[in-house]
Amino acid sequence: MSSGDLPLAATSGMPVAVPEIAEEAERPAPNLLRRLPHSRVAMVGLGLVLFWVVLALLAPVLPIARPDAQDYVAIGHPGSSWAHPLGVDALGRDMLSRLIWGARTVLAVAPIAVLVAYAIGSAMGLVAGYYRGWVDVVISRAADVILSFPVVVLYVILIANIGPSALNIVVAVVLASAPGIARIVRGLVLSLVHHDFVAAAQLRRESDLYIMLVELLPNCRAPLITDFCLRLGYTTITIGTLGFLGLGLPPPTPDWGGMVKQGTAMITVYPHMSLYPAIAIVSLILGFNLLADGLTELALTD
Amino acid sequence: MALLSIRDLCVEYRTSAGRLVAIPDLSLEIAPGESFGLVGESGCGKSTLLMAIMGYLGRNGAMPRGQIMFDGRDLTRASEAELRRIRGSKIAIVYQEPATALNPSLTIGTQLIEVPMEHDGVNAAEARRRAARTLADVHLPDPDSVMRRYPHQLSGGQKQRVVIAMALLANPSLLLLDEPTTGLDVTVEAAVLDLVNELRVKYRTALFYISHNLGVIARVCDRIAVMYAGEIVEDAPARALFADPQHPYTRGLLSSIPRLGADKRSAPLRPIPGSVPVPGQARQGCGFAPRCPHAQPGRCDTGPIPLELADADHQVRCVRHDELGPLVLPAPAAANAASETGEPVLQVDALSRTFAVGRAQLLANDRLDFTARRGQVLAIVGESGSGKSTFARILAGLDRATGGQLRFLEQEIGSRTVRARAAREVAAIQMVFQNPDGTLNPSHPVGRAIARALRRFGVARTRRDTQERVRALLQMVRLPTGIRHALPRQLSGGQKQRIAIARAFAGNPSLLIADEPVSALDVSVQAAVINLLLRIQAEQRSTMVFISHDLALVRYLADEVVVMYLGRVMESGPVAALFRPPYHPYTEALLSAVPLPDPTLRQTRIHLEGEIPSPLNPGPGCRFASRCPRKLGSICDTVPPPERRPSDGHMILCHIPVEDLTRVEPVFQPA
Repeated sequence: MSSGDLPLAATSGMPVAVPEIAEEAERPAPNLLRRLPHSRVAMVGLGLVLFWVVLALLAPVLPIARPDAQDYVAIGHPGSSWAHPLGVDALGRDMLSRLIWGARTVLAVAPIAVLVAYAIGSAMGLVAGYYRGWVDVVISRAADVILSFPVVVLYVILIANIGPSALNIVVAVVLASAPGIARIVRGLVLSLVHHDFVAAAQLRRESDLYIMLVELLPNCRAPLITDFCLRLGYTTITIGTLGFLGLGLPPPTPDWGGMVKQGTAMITVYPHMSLYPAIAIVSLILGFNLLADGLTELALTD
Repeated sequence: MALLSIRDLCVEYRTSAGRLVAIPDLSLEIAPGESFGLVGESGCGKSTLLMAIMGYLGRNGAMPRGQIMFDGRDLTRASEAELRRIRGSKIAIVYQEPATALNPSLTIGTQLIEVPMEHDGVNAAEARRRAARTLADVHLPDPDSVMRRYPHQLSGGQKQRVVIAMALLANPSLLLLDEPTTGLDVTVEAAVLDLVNELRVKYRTALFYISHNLGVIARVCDRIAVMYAGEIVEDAPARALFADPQHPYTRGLLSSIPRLGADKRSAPLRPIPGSVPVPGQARQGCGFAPRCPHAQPGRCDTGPIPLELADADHQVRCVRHDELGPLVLPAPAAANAASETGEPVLQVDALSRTFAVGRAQLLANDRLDFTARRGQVLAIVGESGSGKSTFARILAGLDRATGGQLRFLEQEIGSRTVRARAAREVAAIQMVFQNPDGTLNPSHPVGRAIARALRRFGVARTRRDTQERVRALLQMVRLPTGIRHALPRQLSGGQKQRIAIARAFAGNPSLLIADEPVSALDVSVQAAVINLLLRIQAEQRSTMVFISHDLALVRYLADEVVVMYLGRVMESGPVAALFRPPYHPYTEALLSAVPLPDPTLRQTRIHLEGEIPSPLNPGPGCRFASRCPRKLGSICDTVPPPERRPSDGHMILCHIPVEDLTRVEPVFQPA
């Protein structure tokens, strides 16, 4: 195809009839995340999440005790005091410090796990929805098998076999979440693939990979952002549950679920040892869920 | 006394962006038994008006001023209980989408019987009798079996008949119809319109018919009001409106739709510039002034423009209506100018596409035969299920033929999809799709689609070159170049279609497939897009395969026409030959179904019996035999029809001899 015979006839003296669009159309419409301030629910959720994120980031510079430092004097009176505003645990470790350092664990492990789950789940969903046929059957049935296990049982079996560690928690979460994500993406792709812009891309001989990643995936964005926040909440629960079952991060790493578990031994005498980490878990989950609710609301009013 | 009388009505919506006035001030009257049509494009407020009459405005809708007097009562002040009593018994409504008007989990009978039991308090046996009688009135064969069926077991046309029957069961004095035939095939549409006409007389019901299609309204209504930007701009008896339109918008609409017999060389369409305004925009004076060729600053853009009497019974909202003179439409030329006769670009030879559906065979394309030449427009006409889109997909390389040959510039391409075609072949065949909302990726700025095509087809290599060519293509489709940064949802339907055209022409295609490119656009912008497409096609001497169900449009733009029915070519030939006898009986039926806003033409009415049959395992005879009004006898069912050639290049697939087909009375005659 020679590049010389460009259709330039339109410019030959004929007036461009009517400027049909105002110049303001030059900037793209604000996307979901940029409209976040319009939803009060989302802002409350974001506030809760950011509260923990900031604390976690500042943990090394805050004037708090080290999370594994034991104050043997305080063990006798573990309630709140000037030295330990939220008291100490049964081993004399500062509760506030352990909560803040524990936030670091959750806020590092949960997003990493969900992101990896998203990478794998989206890839599976895209491939299944775009190619359909036997590829779809294999992926969907495999996903169904995993989804048919009760999640907690799946975690327990996995962690009990491969041992508790941050990496293994990530592996477990990915295995349990990816099939659900794949299903969502597959459904979205199935509804998109019949649109003519996909046919138009095929008529440019774009590769399948380009069509999946550039044409299809960006249009799954809105529901996936919401699901991402929800999943961060679920994963927070998971990490808490695993910690509570003794399958969390090995001690002495501060871990909210583990703290609740250790506190139960003295719950009737010193309820704060379980209560504070429990509140921490609840507030973070609530933050993620409210954020997800707000995003859904914004997506619907679009 | 008027049955429905709307006075000074204002309808507004409260939105997060403030009050949005959908209808500033509207008055109209409908007499008992009258058939009143309201024409308007998307966003002009016609559906809002309907919802206001029905009392369905929703929580954010309000009517701060005005009255809707029906049967001596003001519906704007009526309580919910009163409204409910009136709806269904005195006022009934038929919506656009019949599928959503019926409950999918109840049988037709159950849903119909409810109506007389609820409104007239009759017992179940009597209700069943009335339901069966009304179903017979809407010409549904075998009412008893229809009553036992569920909505999904009926076709779209049958469902709409059931919905009309349901509306009529309560014997309403006013029947509201909101685009009841949009989405139906032309022959089915024509049958539903004739049914509405017949029932209106039989049930002595007044009609309030809403549509965007002037031709459809012309077929049903005695009096027509034209609505634009929330206001009625013209209100006149049907004949007067078409014979002597007063408002520039009405005149614009009439000169932007093709009249039958007009073609692109003798009588080009005159589009209305610009696009339909967004509802609720604040403005001074005439809402149409920004698009009006006659607008005068100082007169048209100040103060409210009143409805004036142009003639007894003919009202118009234009300060200049008596200065404009009669509307002169270009007269169609008697003979067609010579059409293009370049070398063959596309040769279709016994092309077939079969799908296996379970154990059955679906012949989506069955032995297609035709040729398109350089610079020509070849139109493929047919209703849903005719296989025209399957052919387009094979031609574009999105699907593969299962038999026969498809030669493009002497190369066989029917058996190869885009993956197996050379880059040059892919760039040479491009497509403009039907639905402007799906044609562009909602996540990408619109310029990106064009830029990507330029890069993929090797037309532009550097970034700067690409940008320059994107600008040139945007100018070619008459869009401001700044639009390339916009997202599709910020554009109107017409603008999206222009982007799609620019994208298709990025690789300088020698063949363009246009699959109903304007059927989803507002009437007033269709002409501009059609003219644009034809201008570029003519300038580049590319061939265009134009797929459509709109025969008036096909008459206007095509050089050659192929009429398809259930996968088979029924008739093909030069456009002029197709629009006069000898016709194939199916072509004749299609022509008689074209809704034309032209009272100077008399059109024969041909009713096709039944619905388009299942395309699975067709018999050996003629595909059209089951609905053919000129069926000869069993020969049509059992023997494949011969190809008759009444003149050079004209083919009719029919058992009826050419001499008999030639003697058929023409569908269109001067009234």
